[in-house]
Amino acid sequence: MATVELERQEAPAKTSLRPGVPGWAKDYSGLLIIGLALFIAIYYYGDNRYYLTILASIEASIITATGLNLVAGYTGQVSLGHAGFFALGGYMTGLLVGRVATTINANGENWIDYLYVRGKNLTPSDRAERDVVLNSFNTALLIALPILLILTVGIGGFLWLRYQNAKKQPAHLHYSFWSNPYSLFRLFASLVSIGVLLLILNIIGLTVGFWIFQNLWAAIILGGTVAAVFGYALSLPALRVKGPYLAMVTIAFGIIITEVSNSKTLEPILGGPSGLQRIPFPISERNPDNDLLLQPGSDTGATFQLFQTNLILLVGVAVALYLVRNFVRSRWGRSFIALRENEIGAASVGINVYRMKTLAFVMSATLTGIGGALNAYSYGAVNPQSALLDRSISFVTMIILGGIGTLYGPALGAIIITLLPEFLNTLGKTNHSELLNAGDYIWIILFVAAIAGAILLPHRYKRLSGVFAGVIFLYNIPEIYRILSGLTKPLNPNSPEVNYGSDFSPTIILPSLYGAILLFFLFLAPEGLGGYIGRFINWLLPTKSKITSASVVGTSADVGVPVAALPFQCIRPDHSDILKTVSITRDFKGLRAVDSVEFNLKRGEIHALIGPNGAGKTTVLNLISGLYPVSQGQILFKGEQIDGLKPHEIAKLGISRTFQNLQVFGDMTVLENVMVGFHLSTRQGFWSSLLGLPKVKAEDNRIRAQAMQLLEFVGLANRAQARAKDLPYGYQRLLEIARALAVKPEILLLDEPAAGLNPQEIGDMDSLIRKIQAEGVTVLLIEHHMDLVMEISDEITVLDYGKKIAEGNPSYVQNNQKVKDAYFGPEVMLDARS
Amino acid sequence: MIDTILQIIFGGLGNGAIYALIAFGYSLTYLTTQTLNFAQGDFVMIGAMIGITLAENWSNDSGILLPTHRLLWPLFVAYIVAVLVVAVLGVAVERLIMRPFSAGLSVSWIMSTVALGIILRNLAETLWGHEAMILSPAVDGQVKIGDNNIYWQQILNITVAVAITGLLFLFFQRTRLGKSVKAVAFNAQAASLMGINVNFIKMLTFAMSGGLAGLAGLLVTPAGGLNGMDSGRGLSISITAFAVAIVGGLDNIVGIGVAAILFGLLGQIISSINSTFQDLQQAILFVLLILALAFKPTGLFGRQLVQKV
Repeated sequence: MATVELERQEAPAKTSLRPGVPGWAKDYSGLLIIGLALFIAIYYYGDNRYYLTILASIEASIITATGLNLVAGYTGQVSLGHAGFFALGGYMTGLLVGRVATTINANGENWIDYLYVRGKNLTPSDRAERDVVLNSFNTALLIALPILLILTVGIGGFLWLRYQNAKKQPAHLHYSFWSNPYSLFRLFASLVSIGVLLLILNIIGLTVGFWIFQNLWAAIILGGTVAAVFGYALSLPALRVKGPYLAMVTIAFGIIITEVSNSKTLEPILGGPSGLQRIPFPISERNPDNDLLLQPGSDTGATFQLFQTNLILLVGVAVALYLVRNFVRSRWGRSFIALRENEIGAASVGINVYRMKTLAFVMSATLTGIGGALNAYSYGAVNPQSALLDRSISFVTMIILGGIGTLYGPALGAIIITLLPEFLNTLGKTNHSELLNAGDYIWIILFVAAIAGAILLPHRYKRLSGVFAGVIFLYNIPEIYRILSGLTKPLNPNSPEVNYGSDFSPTIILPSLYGAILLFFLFLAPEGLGGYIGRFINWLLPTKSKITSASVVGTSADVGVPVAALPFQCIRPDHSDILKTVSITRDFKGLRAVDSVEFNLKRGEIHALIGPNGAGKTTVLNLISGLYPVSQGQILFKGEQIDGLKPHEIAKLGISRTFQNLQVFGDMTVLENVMVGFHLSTRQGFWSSLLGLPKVKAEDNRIRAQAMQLLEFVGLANRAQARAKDLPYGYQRLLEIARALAVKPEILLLDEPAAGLNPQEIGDMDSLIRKIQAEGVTVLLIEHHMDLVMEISDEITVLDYGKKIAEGNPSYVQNNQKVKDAYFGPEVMLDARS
Repeated sequence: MIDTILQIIFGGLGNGAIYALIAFGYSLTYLTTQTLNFAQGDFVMIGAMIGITLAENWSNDSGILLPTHRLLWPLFVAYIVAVLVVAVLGVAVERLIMRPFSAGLSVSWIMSTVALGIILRNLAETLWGHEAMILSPAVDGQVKIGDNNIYWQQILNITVAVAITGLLFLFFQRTRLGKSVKAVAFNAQAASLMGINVNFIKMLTFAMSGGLAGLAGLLVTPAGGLNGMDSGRGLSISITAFAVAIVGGLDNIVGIGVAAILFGLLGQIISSINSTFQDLQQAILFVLLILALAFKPTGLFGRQLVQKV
């Protein structure tokens, strides 16, 4: 109790002597540093083909890692199949630019020639064979196309009509996937769009000619689009599932892409195991036949083209980072983080969790596809290797090394991970005559000492010692593997002399290095390099807070409301029925938690729902807020049926809630928590958020001020910049109320707001609830503190074993015999005991 | 025709048996900890490799590693040691990865076990090379059914899988320990209040899971002739087994058994159509898996989850 008091009296704002730097300035200088570093590197190595190739690979990886971070970092969904999207982008470039364009360039043949004979010169017998294939292909197309068209239009039209019909009656939505017109229509639409996309590609390939395929932008757009469409189709099952299920779906996707691109049957098109090669650079024409990749100095013209390609890729990196930066700092980015932190909480403020996850997944797939397309350009080749699970893991390693959920960490991770093989290459082959050399002994002693330190040292040094041991281990992995391979040498009967690790090439241990880096960062440095660097910079140059009390007062003066009132207007209370439950029932596997409960909520009143533990109070709240579907009965809000709506739809109608088990967004600040609450009343569009238009910033500032006002309303203004999970319990309850009020509700559902509070805090809660009522918000309250309930309620409904046993004003309920029985046991038992 | 069908049935059940053993391992740990080991496939491989190293005296005169069929250790001793080693590895995973990360984000334990998997795979490649290694069958020879030659090893695998299913069933229904596992799966906190050592039960399931993976590796290496085991094969088998566990429902032993048979048979049917389908066998299976999950997010036989608020 005392500590809470102390915390309450804490000074509202800490003033720092160091000058503050606005957050956006830090964001943009990070972008600038990464861009400049790459720019300088490209110019410095401008005449070295080998280094230029590595730089191009780094740039493609940055785009990919940034894309993956959107899904894994911001929405917290780990995908182990992003290499699939990477490969898709690459194959699109390969098909469009490599396969199609080069053939037409070189031989003047159309692309089906190329598909069939794979770039060889055509002999007469080849031509005859080709004509047979072409004819059968055309005939099949002639028959199949009309049938497909009729089927598509028919089925699509039918599903669309069903969907339109269903939209008219939003009230009953107890659909499974199969019977839900919306999801079926979506599934169908995404299948059709994949089909149409492939068809369009074919038609373009046949008719338009090669110039479009030489076009860099065509490849990027197509690579991105195809990846996006596949991402969308995959998100249908992937985002309905969680944890290991999601990992499985994404792994399966990567394997599907690998197998399809590897398959013998599709070899004429996709090139089989060797993939598509000789993709020309996007800049100017070059003869693909004498282009020998990765031979330094072989072709100065090609080197110059690679240099130019690098500059294009750099622009791509800058644009991608800029757009992602704008996006994650907007309401969209906040919703992503909110649903990562707490899906139930996010839905309760009106965020459509499923749609947001789909959006994140599709955006991420698009960026990854573009990364793959650009990568294929710079390498001049794409093969099934790029879809392998190991590749997906290396992408995840990038973001974990760089800092998962940080803005520029993934870029940093991408740079380091892409350079790792080069680092291993510089180690070269070793030639040892002994198993262990002198250096090894020193490392072993250091390592043992560090491990001993991690175990024996006082607590605060343990972690440091552990990190030290980890670094020693990471650095020595190549050596460890050399020793291991040396150990097993004598077992091999074909090895003539014992030369420990003489034929050991360090590059083969690359996967182990990825694995060790993953383990190191997950165990010892979970924030990643980016997280620690960001913290260091924040310590050096604190972020200037955007909110000052002046801005709050200014804004509230603008809208003409006094401070410490709600930043929006409510409908005047007229005591008409606003919410009505018609004998709602909820069964959990034979247990009837709520049994035909009926009550009316009148606009402007405080209505309490009480009853002993297990009476079904919270279940009633979950039914109203849409977390559980009702088994029987109806819920009417202003006369309209709302049972069956999803939680975010209920919030949209104007019913918001708090939770008995707190559902705050722990890793966001208090202010951001409330800003997420304004999700429904913000109108920043997708594209304007992506571009970071001024109107987006203006709206952000407005809701920031309103959120601040709400925090003052509940009395949390001096905690605005604290992390929500660091708040004491009671304050988190206040935060939930502020967040729920940000939804601008007509009805506020409070689930045990006073649980765990001390008597003084309960008094504060009492006046807060009255204040909320005075603002015109109707309150439905579940509470165990009877003093509070009896004092503020206009009407009380009492539940016991899921049934309503009494209803009326506080004095009626207090004197009701059934209520007494429910709480204290029947009179008889009391008598018997006394 | 009847021969093809027989071949499909025996091949399918043989593969299904292996899938089932690995998938039970996923299920056991998921029941008690809601986590599963993404390095399970590499445990399969490690089990086989240890068995091979102990039991076989190999040479590569012809450039391919071939066992000389001279047993260094009696096969069953090698089997027991291999299974025990992998079971200990399983315990290590529980103790070192799952327990510290159980409260955190799922990305931590998923990526940690994935990392462990890559390291084991890479280590095996360094120690045992790239070529597939071969283990002598536990029961040599073939039996002729119709026009088909069915390996005894395959029949043994099916028998072992059925026996293990039965044993697991008995374990859960009849033994005190099995009931404790069920109690922990239902509500770990309540179980611990009833005096069950929850951490021990979790470690036990990880040990069982590891042991099953090792056993599967030993059984699959000699199955169906000279398939052998290399560092990547465990992973590819276990991904299909993972699909089996997911489709069957991670919390449902019987469902997994059914799904394993389904996957085994479907795989054989698909590859028996023509070479195109054989190429794309896994891709087709996974497309089916993704579709199945789109309609039944917790698997065909899994329980529906109810959110607790």
